[in-house]
Amino acid sequence: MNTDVNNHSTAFGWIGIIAVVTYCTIIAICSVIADGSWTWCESVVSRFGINDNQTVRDIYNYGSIIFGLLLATYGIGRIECKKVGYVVGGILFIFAGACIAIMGLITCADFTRDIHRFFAMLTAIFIVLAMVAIALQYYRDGNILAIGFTLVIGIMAFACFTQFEFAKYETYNVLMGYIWIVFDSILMIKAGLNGGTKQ
Amino acid sequence: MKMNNGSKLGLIIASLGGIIAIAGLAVTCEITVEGITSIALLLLISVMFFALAGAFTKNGQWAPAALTLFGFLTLGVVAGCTIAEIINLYLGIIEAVVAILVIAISYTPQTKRFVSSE
Repeated sequence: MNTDVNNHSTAFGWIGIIAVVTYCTIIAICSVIADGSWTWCESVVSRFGINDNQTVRDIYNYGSIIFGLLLATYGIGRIECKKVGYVVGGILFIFAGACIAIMGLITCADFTRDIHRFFAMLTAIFIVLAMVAIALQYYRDGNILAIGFTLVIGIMAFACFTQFEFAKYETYNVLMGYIWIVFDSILMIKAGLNGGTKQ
Repeated sequence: MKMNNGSKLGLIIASLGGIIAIAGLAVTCEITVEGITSIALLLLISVMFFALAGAFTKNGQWAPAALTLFGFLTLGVVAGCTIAEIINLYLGIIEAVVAILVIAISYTPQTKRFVSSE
């Protein structure tokens, strides 16, 4: 039995892409509606959750819950690939999705800031660990291009982390993380279309 | 076994990458305490390119997969330094293009065969 894919690899791959597109759309809409009260690379994304504009708050908070659920579903798709690295990565994506959904419920207002930050840091840690786990599986499978791409993304993210202020590196690292998720989703779609012969 | 054209090209392009990094260091870097980071990282990038150049040889020190991975590592360092504004943007773009060319050449079947041949 080929354990690279399951019967629904293509569908789960598309869910990963839809999740990322959903999140980017939410942020774009919020930044337009928030107008001058939020600035790219200077304001933290979580500030949308406590913006003065009720519409921005609703779009961001409910959108985070939806994105978290989609990311968790994508993680379920990864678990079903059954190889160790993919299973571990999938579980970590489920936890990351859950944390993002919780962040949509618990905003970074003064009295809940610490709880929000706790889940925000957990999200980042889970996504990084998921990338590492899945990259190690790429390595075991001999998929050099995939692990190379992961390496490049990882080094760029680390460089931003060491050089920039929080708001700026959050923007860059979130973007790079989601580019990686799209890349991994494309691999899942490709494997599903190939009928599970090679991933 | 004579070097195949792909390996020759890989060697030349990787060497050029190293030379461009050193030249870029001379042109863009300031000799200040703050400039130490970009000087050190450009030296690292040049060393990595020269190591890549040396790997395009018969029965080389690396397996073909390791050569490609090291190319990606070099690309990662270049891209990371550029995006973090540690090195000059245009220098970073040129070095990134060189790294991608080296990766592409290292991934061709002919080069893989040559590098792993005895």
